[in-house]
Amino acid sequence: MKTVIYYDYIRNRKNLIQNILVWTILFLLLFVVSLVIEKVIPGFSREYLKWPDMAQNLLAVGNWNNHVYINLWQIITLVFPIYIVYVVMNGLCATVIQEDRLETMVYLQNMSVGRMQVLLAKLLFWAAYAFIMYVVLLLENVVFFLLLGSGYNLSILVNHYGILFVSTVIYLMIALFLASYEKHENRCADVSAWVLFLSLILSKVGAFVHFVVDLMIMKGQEGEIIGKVEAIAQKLDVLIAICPMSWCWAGVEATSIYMIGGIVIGCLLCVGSCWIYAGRGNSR
Amino acid sequence: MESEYLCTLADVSVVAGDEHVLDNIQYNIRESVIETFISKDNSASKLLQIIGGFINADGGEVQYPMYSPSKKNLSKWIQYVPDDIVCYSDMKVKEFLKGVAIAVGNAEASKIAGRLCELFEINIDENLLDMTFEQNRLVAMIQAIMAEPKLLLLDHPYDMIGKQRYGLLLKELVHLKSKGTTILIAADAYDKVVIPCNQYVFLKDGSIFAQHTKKTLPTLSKVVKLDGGNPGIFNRERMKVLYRTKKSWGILYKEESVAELVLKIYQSGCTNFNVNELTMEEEVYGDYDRWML
Repeated sequence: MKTVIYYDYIRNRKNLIQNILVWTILFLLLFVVSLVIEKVIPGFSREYLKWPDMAQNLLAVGNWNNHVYINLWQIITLVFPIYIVYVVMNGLCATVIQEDRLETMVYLQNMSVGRMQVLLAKLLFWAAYAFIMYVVLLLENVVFFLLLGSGYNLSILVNHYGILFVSTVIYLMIALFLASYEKHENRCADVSAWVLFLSLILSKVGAFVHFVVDLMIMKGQEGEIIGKVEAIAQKLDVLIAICPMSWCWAGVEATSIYMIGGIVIGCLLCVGSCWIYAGRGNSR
Repeated sequence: MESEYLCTLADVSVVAGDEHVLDNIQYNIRESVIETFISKDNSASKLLQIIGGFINADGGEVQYPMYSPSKKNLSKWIQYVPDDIVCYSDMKVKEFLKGVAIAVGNAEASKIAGRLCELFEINIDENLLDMTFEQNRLVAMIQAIMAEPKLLLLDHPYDMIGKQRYGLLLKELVHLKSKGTTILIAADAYDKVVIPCNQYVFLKDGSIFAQHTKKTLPTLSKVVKLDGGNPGIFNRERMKVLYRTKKSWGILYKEESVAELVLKIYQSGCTNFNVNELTMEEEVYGDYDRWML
């Protein structure tokens, strides 16, 4: 198993370093820019980031802060999980499928690495890939938050990256299942993207209905209909459960039941993928 | 009682569509030997993959009497080199071989790899996919040899490798055999193997057609093409007429002495002739199609 992890590290270290550098530099630039903005336009957050609650709720952004950087960080964290989860899902699918397509599996089997071990080692590697990225970004942002004198907000940071890691692992387990039966990298990438996109859209259905209710109230609509639509919206909120990525957003309240359920389903998918992949045309 | 065989093939069959790639193969493989399986199709390669446990047979069984019953540790003593290059992208030779050394867990393995890289003049800092096919293939050979397996399976080892380095590789294989490794080779032609084998196994239509040691290999017959004259004079058992047209004919000549042949040609009154040798496969299989007009 350590051979698979070593080989995947060798093949993906450049990509990992590039990703870490790009995102740490991006957050650093944001930090510097936000300091400049606060210097040039004092009270920028109060003046220009006072979005209506309905827009905030639709986007799942948390409460606005006095510091521009923390607000910008919140906006960036709406997009960053989509990118990073897609990268690791794609990376996992590609390396699993490549081993078969390029017949490099032979060399791993020469080294006593069975197919099931290959699959689990790759899951471990890509989970570690995400973990390293999150730890680096967490540490960087902890420093920035402390420099801003906003230490009391550190729990938001830890929560965000902690939950993001759990949801990434769940997505990786889904990707593992896709890769276990798919033979073409491009098709697998497409399916991964659809899994992400659809779960994202569905998780937003509840928020969208809430948004419609807010609009109706704003337009002066009154009566029973508001209560009924609001009740529907509250029921639709449960769809958040099928989009693990949304759990890490500040404006979403994800319960631990969601996470436990997600991990259990992920583990079942993991067992299924091992069964499919290990049983495919090989006796070892 | 302990078995004398390293590996036993019991009625091994592989079917692809309606075709039998391997048809009830029964064969025993001893320790510390070099054996070559020769087939024009891919049945020899398939047989190696089945012995190595890389694909499942549709019927029959591969037994390892000396190491049974655990199949889990098979790969610890079997190394297989496919008829292809190593396709790991973004990986240097030293990184690939380091991974092998980690897996083998033998301090000697790294030393062997280092010596072989030097012998084959391989730059260990080069990426696997940036090197020539020959060098890449040799790296695949090195990863197998450095593990010093009990059973080494080589699929068409001469492919993509030049004569000089192939010669060096053969020396290494003979050395490995002397240390107790059994080497099985899949080949498509006898004359490409060029290694002192204990046994040559000729496969045809998925079955074992013939088995020979170096000593029992048949002498290659000659095909003599003649213009003009009387072909009737060659109608003997060891001088079979292969074809006959109005102007020329061809005969199969199995005698070792050419003196008789020259005399016969003279007696037949032919005006022109040339002599060619059969390949070992044509001789063993009795396949003269190439020479028929």
